[in-house]
Amino acid sequence: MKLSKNYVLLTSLMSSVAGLVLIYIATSSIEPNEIPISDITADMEGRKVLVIGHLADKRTHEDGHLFLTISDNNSKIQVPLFSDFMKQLNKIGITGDDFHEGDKVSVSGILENYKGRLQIMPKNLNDIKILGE
Amino acid sequence: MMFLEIFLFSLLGILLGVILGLLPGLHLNNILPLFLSLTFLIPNPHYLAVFIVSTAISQVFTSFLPSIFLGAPDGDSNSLSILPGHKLLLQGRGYEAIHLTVVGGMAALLLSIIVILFFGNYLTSLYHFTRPYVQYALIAVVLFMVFSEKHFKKILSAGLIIFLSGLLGVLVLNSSIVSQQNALFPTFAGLFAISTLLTSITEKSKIPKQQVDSKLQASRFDMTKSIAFGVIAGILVGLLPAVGVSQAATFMQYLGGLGEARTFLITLSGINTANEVISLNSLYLISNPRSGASVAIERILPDIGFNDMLLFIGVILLSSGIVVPVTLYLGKVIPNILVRFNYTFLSLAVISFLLIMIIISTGFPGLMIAFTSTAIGLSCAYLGVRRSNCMGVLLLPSILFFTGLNPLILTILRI
Repeated sequence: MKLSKNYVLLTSLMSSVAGLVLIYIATSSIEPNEIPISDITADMEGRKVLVIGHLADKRTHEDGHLFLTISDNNSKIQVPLFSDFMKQLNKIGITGDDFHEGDKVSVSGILENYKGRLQIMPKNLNDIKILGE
Repeated sequence: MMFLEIFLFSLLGILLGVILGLLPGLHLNNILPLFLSLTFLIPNPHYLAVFIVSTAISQVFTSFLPSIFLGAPDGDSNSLSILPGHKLLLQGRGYEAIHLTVVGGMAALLLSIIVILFFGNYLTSLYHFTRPYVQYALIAVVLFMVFSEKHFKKILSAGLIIFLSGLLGVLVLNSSIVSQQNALFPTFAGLFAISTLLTSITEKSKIPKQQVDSKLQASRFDMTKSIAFGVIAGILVGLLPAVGVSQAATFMQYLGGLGEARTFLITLSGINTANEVISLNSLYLISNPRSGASVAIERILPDIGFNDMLLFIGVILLSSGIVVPVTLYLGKVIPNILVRFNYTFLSLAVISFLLIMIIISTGFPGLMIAFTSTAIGLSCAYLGVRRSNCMGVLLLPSILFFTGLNPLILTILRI
């Protein structure tokens, strides 16, 4: 049996779109479970994680980056918010001044390794929420 | 550090690089997490770094073997765009194709090392100067890829493939359905390997008898020009993010009039090796990793100095010196091995191997990604546009990243 090229093309295009829709549904519906910072390990690198803790430290870089340190109990993790991300946050009314040490915050993002240190990299503007003092 | 240990780890790296290069769709990046988890077993971090460098450089050379000898469409087919390596294979000149990639790759490797050693500071300045304009360069690459097609229908088709693969890239690279470290494996396996193998099965591909001689049917001038283009493009690709070897090769093909399959292969291989040399030394040159291998090296050796760079260059020279004759030898024997196998069976075996690797490393979500990326790769083949349009998978996410629009788009998409 020789399949017609138009038939294969149509099937491929429809499969591409169907696959993209399925991946989109899977991606948008999977929410990471909250995890204590002490349970985060290097083998989880590349996964999306959600932590809720207190803002232990805040450092502003001259290029507009904001580096947050989140702590829960005795564990800490870095959350870098780069200038592009900060600019987008500013557009929805959140600035660096809105983050105060001691604030309770919820952060989700991809766990990355920067020079041997694990950090959470928020991607979506809703990935970081200030829950109050 | 002991010379003998460095030599031994280089040899092990070459062996792994040859094996990885021969297995289509499998890349060093896919097994780097495994290496990094074994760091504690190796007494000196330099040994592991040397192992990664020699694997990376060896794979660049040997990966041309499956890409030339596997996945060629039917020689009578006019509807599909035939890759330059496949064109020579179908003319019985597969070995010459390998020989050309080795010559182009080795010359570009040596020239890029000279550039690093004598003009490294200029590369650093070039990187810092161009960084604020990267997004414009990437947009220009996309526009070039679309409008370099000759007919309106093909322009639309190229645009569609870049859009579909770009959307896939945005979803996969920002999603938690698979680990980010492994996300590109099912994506690239589907876009480039599985789809090509499936196309060749449906086309009833058959490899003609191959001529094995050392004749290179390209003039000295064409070879020199192709190598020069390869080095320049390879250095730029090594410094700039997201721009892939294939786009650079296509661009150089237009810029330098390298329309012929032989000159194209020399340039393509030159870009590949120059890019790898620059990427492996990017930690010293621009304090930024530029490939999966350099990200891994950064973890193992956080502070790279000039002496480390010299060590890497030595390992690159040693590895390429050994892997070049190995590649040429394999280029002679592989066609003889392939003709003994049923091509459809061989293609199906490779596809099965890739699917098993995808399931092991990324599970069912990875399979879903591979299914989608294969469908996009097949659409590209049957629309008759260049396979490099599938590099939209990295280009679109990179454009969003460098224009600062990524968080906004992800928020709108709710991912």
